[in-house]
This record gives sequence, C-alpha cells and structure tokens, in this order.
Amino acid sequence: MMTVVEKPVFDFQRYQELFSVRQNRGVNGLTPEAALERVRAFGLPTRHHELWRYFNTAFFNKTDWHGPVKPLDFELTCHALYQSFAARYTGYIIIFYNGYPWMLPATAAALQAEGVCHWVSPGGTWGGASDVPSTIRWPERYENVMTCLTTGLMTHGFWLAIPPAQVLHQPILFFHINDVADGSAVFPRMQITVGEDSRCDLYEYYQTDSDMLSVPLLDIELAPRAQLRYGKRVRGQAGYHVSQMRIAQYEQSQSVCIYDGEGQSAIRQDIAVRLCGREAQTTWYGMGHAERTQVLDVNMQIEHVASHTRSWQRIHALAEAEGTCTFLGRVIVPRGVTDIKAYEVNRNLVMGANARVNTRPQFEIEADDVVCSHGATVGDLDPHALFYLQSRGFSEQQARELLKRAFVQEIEAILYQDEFLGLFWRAKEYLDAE
Amino acid sequence: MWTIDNLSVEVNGVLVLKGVNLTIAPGEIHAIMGPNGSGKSTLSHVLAGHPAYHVVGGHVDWAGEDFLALSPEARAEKGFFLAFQYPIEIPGVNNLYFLKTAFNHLRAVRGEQPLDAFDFLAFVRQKLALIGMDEKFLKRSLNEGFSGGEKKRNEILQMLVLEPQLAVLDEIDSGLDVDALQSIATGVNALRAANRSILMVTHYQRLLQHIEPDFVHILVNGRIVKSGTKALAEEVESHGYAALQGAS
Repeated sequence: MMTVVEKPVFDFQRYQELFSVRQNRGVNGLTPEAALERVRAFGLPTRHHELWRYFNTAFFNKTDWHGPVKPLDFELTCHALYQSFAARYTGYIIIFYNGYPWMLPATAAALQAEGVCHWVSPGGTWGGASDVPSTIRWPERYENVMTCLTTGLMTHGFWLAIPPAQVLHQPILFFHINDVADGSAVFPRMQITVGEDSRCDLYEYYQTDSDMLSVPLLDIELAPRAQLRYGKRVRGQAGYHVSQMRIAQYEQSQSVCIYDGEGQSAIRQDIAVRLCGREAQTTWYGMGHAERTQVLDVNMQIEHVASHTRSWQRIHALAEAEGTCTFLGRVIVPRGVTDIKAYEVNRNLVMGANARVNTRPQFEIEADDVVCSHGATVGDLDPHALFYLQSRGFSEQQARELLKRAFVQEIEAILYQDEFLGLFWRAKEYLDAE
Repeated sequence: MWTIDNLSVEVNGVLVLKGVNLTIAPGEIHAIMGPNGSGKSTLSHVLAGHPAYHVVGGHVDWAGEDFLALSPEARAEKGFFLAFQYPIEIPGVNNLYFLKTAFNHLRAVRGEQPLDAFDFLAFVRQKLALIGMDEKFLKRSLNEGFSGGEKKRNEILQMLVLEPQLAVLDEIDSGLDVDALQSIATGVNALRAANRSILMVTHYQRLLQHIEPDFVHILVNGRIVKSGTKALAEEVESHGYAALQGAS
C-alpha cells in the first residue's frame, strides 16, 4: 500500500470536472467520485515518497490536464495508421488514437471467429457489446494513487476474453498513438483474460510526440495452463507515460514478457505479477534507454504466492547525457510456500557525467525452501573492452558505440531466438526507422 | 625494422620495465621468455598502447615513425596486432560482425575496397580451417562463454584475418592442451612471411618446439638479460630462470 509523506494540493474538483463527469458517465456503473476521493487520500506522488524518489513528479501537479477531444479526422487518421501498421504486421490491430479506440470491423469479426469476446468502452462503434455478460465489469483498482486515478478517470478501454483451449492464430497488437499538443491526458484501460490451456501473444506500442500524459492500466489474468507472450514498447519525443500493469497467473500458466522504453520526457512502469497457482512461471526481459533529461523508472514486483513457482528477470538500462534510469525490483516470497526459484539481474550502463542510475533489486523472503539470486551492476563501459576493440583498429568513438549497442543487443540476441519476441525487435527497428 | 630503445615503463607508480632494448627485422620471429613478474605482459601491453601503462623513458621506432606517439587504433592501422593473454568477453558483439568490421576498416585504411559478406565469409572459412576452429564460433558473441583454448584460437583467427605486419603473442600457449597448441602453432606458422615480424611472449619452451624462433631473449626484472638462439630456451628449460638471475 502506498503512503505519501507530502501531499501536494490535489485539485479534486478540477480533476472531477475535467475528466470524470464528462468521460466516465455510465461506464459499468463505476463511481469516479469514489476513486477520486481515494486519490485525494493518497495525495499525488512526490519525490518524498520512496517509490517515486527518482521520478519527475512535477507534471502531476499541472492543473490544466484535461480529457482529449476526439480529433475531427479520427477515422481517416486511424485508417492511415492501420494501413501503415498492417503493411508490416500480421495481427489483430487495435488503435488508440489520442485515447480513442479504433478497430476495423473485419478485425472484430476475425476475433469473434476465434471465439474471442471483446468489448470497447465507453464510446466504441464496434465489437460484440451485446454479447458481453452483464457480470463483466471493469475492476476497481485502489492499490495505489495511479490505479485509483485510472479507475476514476478512465477514458476508454478494451476488454478481451480468450476462451479455454484457444490458441490465437495472430498476436493482438495495441497501438497507442498520441500526438495532440494541448495538455490532454488519457487513462485507457485494457483487461485481458486468457482461458485455460489457451495461448495469446500481446503487443503494446505507445508513441507520444506531444506533451500528453498517458496513464494506462492493463490487467491480465492467465487461467491454469494459459500462456502469454507479451511485448511493450514506449517511445516518443515528449510526453509522460505512467503505466500500471497487473498480471495474475494460475496453475502452470506461463508468461514471457519484454518491455522497452526510450524517449518521452518521463516513463514510469509499475509492473506487478502474482504467481497465484502452483508451477506458474514468469520471465521478464527489459531494456530502458534514457538520454537528454529523460527519466525512466521501472518498479517491478513479483509475488510468489503459490508453491513451485518460478520467476526470471533480466533488466538492462542505459543512461546517457542527463538521463536517469531507476529500477526497483521486488521479489516477494511469503511464508508457507515451498520450492520457489527466482532470479533477478539488473545491469546498468552510465554514459555521461550527469547521467544517473538508481537500482535496488530487493528480495523479501519469508519461506525456507527457496533458491533466489539477484544482482545489479552499474558502471561506465568496460575500459578493458574499449582497449580490446581499439587494439583491433576501432576508434574510441566507434568502440564506445559498438559497446553501447552490444549492451542493448545482449538482450536482443536472446529475444531473436523467439519468433514472437524477435518480431517485437523487428518492429522496433521498423518503428525507429519511421 | 622495429626498434625498442631503452624502454622504461611504470605501472601504478612501480617501474616494471627498466630499459628494454630489442630490434626486430622483417621476417624474424623473436621469443621473449621470463619468470612471473618479469615484465613480459607489460611489454606487450605498452606496445599495444594500453593507457594504464606509462612510458617513462626510451622510445620505439617502427619504419622511422615514433610508434609510442600513436593511439592504440592507429597502431593497429599501421599493422600492429596483440594477441591477448586474457582476451576480453564482449557480450552482444557478434564475432563475425566484429571481424568483418575490423577487417574492412583496415582495408579502407590501406585504400582497398571492402569485402562483402559473402566474400568475407569465404575468406574467414579458410582461416577457420587452418586452425581447426568450428564455424559456430562466428555466430556467438565475441569470446563470450568461450573456453580458455577457444579464446586463444579466436585471437589467432583474428590475427590470420587482419594479417598484421607485427604481431605480439602474449602467452598464447598458456592453458592450452597439446592439440590446441598444435592448431595455434599451425596458424602462427602460416602467417610467417618475409615482410612480417612476430614477437612471442612465453614462459615455456614447448611453444618454441612448434614455432621456431630466430632469436630468444630472457627478460628478468624488467631487463633483457640474455639473448641467443633457440638453444637459449633449451638452456632455460634445463636450468631454470634462476641460473640467469645473476646476469641481471
């Protein structure tokens, strides 16, 4: 539970006016007022809070955030974006353009043909809304101030349920494109449920080239023996990305996940994985890159709630110029569980006199039958490696560039062995080139 | 002609080389032998331009040029190559990519056209065959996870590919089994040429049974105390370095 030492003025009324009344009326009966009351109780994050110490929290205090206006050329732009993405990717493409969701009717039909129930809320024009059971609701998330904000201020959302024993033929690809420079903020939600013995590939891409604030909340539930491969990439020239991701895994479910963040003014990723069922496994790769004055903050938590569970993390970060990278990796093993294996490594490269890295791998173990290891390294490029390359004719600059790339490619090399995750990196190359 | 004249080198404030003199003519193979701590690896590293080694006296001349004034990469461009005693592992740098980039860079320096990927691969395969190295090592990251012997082979592979004018082999035989030593010796011998010089640094005479040197020098306490032919190495093998300590 998050506690905040200092509570800046939270302009409750203004937030309520700007977001809740207009945006959230009628969304599954959620009461934005209740969520905003909790936001007020928490207070907005500040650097005084342990979990936000290294993050640029000043922008939260802006009082002119407002919900985005639907662009006049929304349909046309989304079509164009779709054409661009579809030329490169095979998958179920779902676009959130300035917070507003869009999907080809043919894509919706194809999803339905695979037995996938999906729903967009609240203003979508497609999807099987009439098929959604009345019991399906957006869960109210009050773990911390950010989930409260998204619960209360949710703009649009996408709900998707993959039935049991279904292997999706194509990955589901979410593209969040934000480009309106008017101080807009979006609070999208995505809720994915993967049924027993099912398999799903999911990819999220966020690009913000304006000063928009994006606060997405992604909930994933993996039923017994379900498998998930998940990739997320955040990039852009400006903007603020503060995301919350929650994964709950049940018996023998497996997840392999990768995230990659660079660009934007500030990126914050809170990831929480609960291994609730026996023999559940999760694997994480991460690559972060902060340059100029960017801030990249990853707050990862893995809870081994059930016995015989496994977690594996390898997180790299590169800070250049005046960039700051932060990693807090908590692995929690509560009392009473047995046969736990957890591994966490965080490697950081600091290139630049004013670049900063903060790392805290942290294991909280209350059980006995546990094999855990963690480690973190922080440093500049290895001078011996630099010299080695120079001795083969590489200039110092070339050697530095090569070693920097190698640091990134160390993760990529692992990922290329996997078809989907390799696709993720090829997507990265394509999008970088765009 | 390559001339080391009265070279003195300090490492962390300690004088390690105390006036080394050595001349190597094109086509010659020299061996430097010496006990632990005598300054052999210091000599190798200072010749390669390692920034941690400070030259406090003397100079090195190569074809009329002040060799010590050059950066490490400029020395490589001039045709200098150091086979490291402890090659560095660099995860994420593909071995083949590394070789090709270094190779084509040196070609560009010499005003030659770069080889494309296909031609380069064919070229490297010849070199691999020469030292009995599996092609799979090309696909791996540079030296990452290689055994000691594989790293040494990879150093020799680089040397064969880059075709230096002067190669310094720093204890290239340490930690090798008989077969690996034979393979490496085959690679080094293949590089012998009238315009190429090789300086081998070693503890043991066994390397010299595979690669016959023209001259052998004994380095003790930062100075070359004795020079001779291959017979000198046999003398060391029989009597040890202690017998030569007095000469220093």
